[in-house]
Amino acid sequence: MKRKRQIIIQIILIAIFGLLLFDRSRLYRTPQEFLRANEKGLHYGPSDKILLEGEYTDGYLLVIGKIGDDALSIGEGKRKLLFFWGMPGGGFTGYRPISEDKAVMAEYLERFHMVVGLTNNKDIEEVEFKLFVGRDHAATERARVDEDGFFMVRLDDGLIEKYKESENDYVWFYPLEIKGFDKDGNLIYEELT
Amino acid sequence: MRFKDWDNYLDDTLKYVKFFFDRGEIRKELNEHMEDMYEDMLESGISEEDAIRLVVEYMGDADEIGRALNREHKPWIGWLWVATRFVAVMLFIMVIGEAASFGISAAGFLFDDNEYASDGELVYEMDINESFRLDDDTVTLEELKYYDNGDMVVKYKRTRDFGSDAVDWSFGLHAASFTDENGTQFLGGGGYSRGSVLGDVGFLTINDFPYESDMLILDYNYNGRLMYAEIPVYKAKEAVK
Repeated sequence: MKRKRQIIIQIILIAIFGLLLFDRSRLYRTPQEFLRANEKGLHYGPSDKILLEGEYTDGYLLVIGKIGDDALSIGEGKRKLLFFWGMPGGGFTGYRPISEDKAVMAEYLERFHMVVGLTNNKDIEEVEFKLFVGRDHAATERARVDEDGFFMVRLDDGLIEKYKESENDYVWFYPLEIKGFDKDGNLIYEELT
Repeated sequence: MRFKDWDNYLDDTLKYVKFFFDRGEIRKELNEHMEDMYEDMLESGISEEDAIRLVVEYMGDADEIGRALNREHKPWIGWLWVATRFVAVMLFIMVIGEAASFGISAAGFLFDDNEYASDGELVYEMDINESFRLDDDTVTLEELKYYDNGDMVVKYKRTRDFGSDAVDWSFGLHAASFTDENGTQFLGGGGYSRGSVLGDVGFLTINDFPYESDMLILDYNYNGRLMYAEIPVYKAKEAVK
C-alpha cells in the first residue's frame, strides 16, 4: 500500500510540474489558439474567420485568418511534443493588410513555397500576378478568388530549384503587377510597377 | 550478520521476485527477521550451529515464500513506481531550472537601473506614470528626460497579465506619433527595449524637440489599439527654474 500511495503522489506531482512547465512553454492545443496568441502578442486582430489551416512538410503549420475585409493574419508554427503547436523559429509573418491605395495584397511564404493574398474588391474573381526574383521575372501565376476574397497558389518546386544556388539557399519571390479579373474575365484592376 | 546457509536460502527465495529493484529491500527485511529468530534461539540455550540451521527451517519453504513475495511485489506496480518517480524527479529539476531562469529575468526587470541617456546635458526631467491597456499588456509611460541637444528620451514599461497565453513579442513605441501643442511632428528615433519574463523596459528618443514647446503629445493607434497622452513638459521646465 505504501508503494501505491507513493505512485499516486508521484502522479500528482507530475501533473502539477507538467502544468507549470506547459504554462511557461508557449505551446498551444490548436492552430486557432496559436494564431490568436500571436495576434495578442503582436497587438492586432483578432481574426474574424480562419481561411486556411494545414500542416505541411516537416511538421510546419500554416494558419491564416481574415481580419475585416482588408487584412490577413498569417501564422506559421511547428508541431511540438506530438500534440501541440509552437513557434517555429525563423520569423513570423503576422499582420498583412491591403494597402489603402490598393485592392489586392499578395504575400510569398517562403517556408511553404506558396503565395497567399486577399482582395477587398468583391468583383474580382481571379487574380494574376508576376513573380520576380530580384529583377528577374520568374513566372506568371493565376489564382481563383474565393467568397472571402482569399486566394493561394502553390509554386512549382522546379521554379524554386531553378533559382536556388545551393541546397540551403533561400529564394524569395515578389508577387508584383497584380491584375484582377471579374467573372467574365474582364480586367477590372491593375497594379503597375 | 551473514551466514552461508542464510545467503543460500535468501538467494533461493529472491529468485522468484521478478521486480529486481525490490530484492535488496526484501533481502534486508528477511535477514533482519532471521537475525531476530537467531538471537531468540541463542537466548533460549540453542547452540549457534543449530540456531543457524533452525532459522532456515522455521522461515519455511523458499519456493513458496518466493512465489508469495512475487505476488506481493507485483512487477508492474514496481515499474510504474520507478517510472513515475523518474518522471517526477526530471520534471522537478526542470521546474527548478525554470524558476531560476524566471527569477534572474524578473530581477533584471525589477531591480536593474535600466538607464539610457542622450549625449547632451540634462535640462529637465519629469515623471509621467500614465498607463494604457493593449490586449493582455499594460504599457506605462514612466518618465521623460530632455537634453540640451533637443533629445527627449521617454522611458516606458510593458507588463503582461499573469496567466496570459499571448506569445511574448517585444513591444516598441515607434508606431506612435509625437507632436507638440502646435501640431509639429517629431520622429521617434533611437532607443531600445530590454525584455524579461515580466515584460519590457524601453527607451525611445524623440529628436529635435524644441525647448520652447510646452506639451509632448503621444498618439498611438495600431490596429485599433489606442494610447493617447498629453504630457505637460512645461511643468518640468518651471520646476527647474
